[in-house]
Amino acid sequence: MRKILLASHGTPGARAAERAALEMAAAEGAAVVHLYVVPEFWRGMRGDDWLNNASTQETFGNYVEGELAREAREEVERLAADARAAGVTLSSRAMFGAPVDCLLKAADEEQPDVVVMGMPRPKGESGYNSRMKLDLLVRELKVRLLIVPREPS
Amino acid sequence: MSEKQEKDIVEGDAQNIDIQEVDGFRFHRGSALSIFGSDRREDMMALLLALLIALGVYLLVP
Amino acid sequence: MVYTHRHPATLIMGAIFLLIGLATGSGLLDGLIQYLHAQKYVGEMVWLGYIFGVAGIVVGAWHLWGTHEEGDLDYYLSTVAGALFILLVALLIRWYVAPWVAVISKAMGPVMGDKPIHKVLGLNYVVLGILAGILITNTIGVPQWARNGVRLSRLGLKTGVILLGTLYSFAELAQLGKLSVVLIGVFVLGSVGLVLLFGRLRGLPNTMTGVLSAGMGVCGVSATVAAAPVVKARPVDIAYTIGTILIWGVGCMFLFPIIGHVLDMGHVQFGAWAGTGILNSAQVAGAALAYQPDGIETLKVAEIFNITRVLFLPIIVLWLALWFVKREEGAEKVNIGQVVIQKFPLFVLGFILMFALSSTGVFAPPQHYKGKYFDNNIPESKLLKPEEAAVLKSEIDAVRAKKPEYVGALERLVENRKIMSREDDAMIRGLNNAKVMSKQANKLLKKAHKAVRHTAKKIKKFRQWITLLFAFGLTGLGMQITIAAIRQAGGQPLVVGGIVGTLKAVLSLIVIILFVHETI
Repeated sequence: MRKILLASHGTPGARAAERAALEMAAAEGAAVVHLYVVPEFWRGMRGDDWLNNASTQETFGNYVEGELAREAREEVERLAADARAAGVTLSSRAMFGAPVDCLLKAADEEQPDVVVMGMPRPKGESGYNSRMKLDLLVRELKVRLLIVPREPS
Repeated sequence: MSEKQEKDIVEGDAQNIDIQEVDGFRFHRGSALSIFGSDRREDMMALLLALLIALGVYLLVP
Repeated sequence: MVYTHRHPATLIMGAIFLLIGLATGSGLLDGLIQYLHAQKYVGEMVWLGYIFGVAGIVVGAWHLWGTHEEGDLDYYLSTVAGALFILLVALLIRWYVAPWVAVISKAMGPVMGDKPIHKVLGLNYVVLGILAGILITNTIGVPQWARNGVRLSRLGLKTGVILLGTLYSFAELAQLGKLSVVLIGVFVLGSVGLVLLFGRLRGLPNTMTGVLSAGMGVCGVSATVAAAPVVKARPVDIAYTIGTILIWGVGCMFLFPIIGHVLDMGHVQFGAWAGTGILNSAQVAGAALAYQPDGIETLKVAEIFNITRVLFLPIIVLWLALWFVKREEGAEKVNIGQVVIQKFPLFVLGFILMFALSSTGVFAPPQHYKGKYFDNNIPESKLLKPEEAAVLKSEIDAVRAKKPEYVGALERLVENRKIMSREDDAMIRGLNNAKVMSKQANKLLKKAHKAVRHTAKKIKKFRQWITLLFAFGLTGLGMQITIAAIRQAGGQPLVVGGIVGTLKAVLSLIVIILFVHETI
């Protein structure tokens, strides 16, 4: 095995997938590609606001973009530190779009041996409403897929 | 944030709807609601349009 | 960047408009129009069909076959495609879909009292237009070639608001202004304070409480957008809050008119309630037009509330900024002057300018009321006939016995054979409503009243323009609402927002029912 594509936002479910991917990579001597997706619902987040001036909207847009970028950077850096500690080569890429589209596209471009991701968030737990469409993913994905269950807390 | 964006915001003249790039991340903003370079211009256009309609109504409706 | 898309859509839409114009003008669509009871739109179908048809075909041909270079011409002309797209959606709904829904709904019979289902739900062309906008955005998506032009919708709304200025008289504006400042002041500041209090009780982070209180207080999404950077809201707070407000707004647009019909609220009452209780400003206009599709008295009231809210927005942002600075270390200091200048919506001044222009009496006498005004300078043919005056005279004694306060006005009417003053006019209407005279006499009172009441044709035309502009703008705004954004509603903002939003709607409803009457 030479390359693992890991999809993670750093949510509790994804942390288990991160650990599994790093362990596998360390054991097999494979490289890990970390995929971080900014979900596309952000595009509609100004809703139907029409009262604000452009400068206010622009400030909002820049602020949200800056915050999302900061969150992404923090996740990427955290995982990179974990990878360094495990002695694994890690590269990261960030994409904007529907999670399933981004994962399929990344898998197509990176040609990994396996895609690793966490379990969908259990009902009732808070978080963004932007799930990976699993049925679409398993139908379209051309490489092996590993879904890592959560570790009991 | 680029210098130009910052300048736009300070002058209240920002309406850049093309692809934006922040910290290496690219986002395409959803369509904003105005085609004008600034709100002041849009407000003036709305006023002009309203006055034109008013003039039309004044002249054409008995 | 070249904005024009080499696409036949504009040409095709132009052809559709032209066909509608031609087919309606030549009587080809008479059967359909009769079936839909859409006779009142025939004039529009013909002349708007021709205007938009020719414009669409000329610009469409240019889009398809012209040479496009980066520049103003390309930029502005490319918007015609999107503008025609919204117009086509809005007008097809206004002319055919909404009447069709009405026909089907009437065939299903009354569901509440004597009202059929489309009246109860307020399914008129504005609401259906907003829904169509939401539907288009979330299914096929706004087509690429229309993207640039859809951004004209805000211009349409602003123009509509400015033109609204022509419809108010001084007394109306003063009264509505006072009412809106009191209600908005109490309920906006109240709900902002309540959310801040709730947040502290439940131990929510300041960033979340800050952004949620703005959204719950004034103008929904707009306030959230304005306040989020100020209170340094986290992305997840923003997503929760905006999702909550959007779903609440769309829900209210349907719920408010239903409740309004159940309680049989007056136009002023409903406009005031929608303007206070509905969070998002676009849906305030939508609900007002849903409640009263045939006239715009409700919209007039609701929009005054909207304008008052917009004026409150900088105050809320300032409050939150100061609140946040006090609570969080390292928060930036606020520049009050800059906030006010940046947030002030200039088009509100346009509204005031148009109001000033209209109160000079160029469009209707300044004392007009809902576009109607009193003028007893009428020709001989419109006076009551001597024998009619005699009928009224014979009943004066009966009136004196039952309702002596009306006798003076009645005597003056009998003497002059027409109503002599605005005050008398009000008395005569009151006498008619009191039903103390015979049927025949009451009919004569009505006739005398009608003779001195004139409808300003210009005001009527303005109303048509305003509803058209609002339909255009609101359909375009509908195209900005994505289900993906609505689905982010959740977390604490949904709980706190739900409680505060419901409280605000219920309390404002009670206050309005108790204290606001149809006196305006």
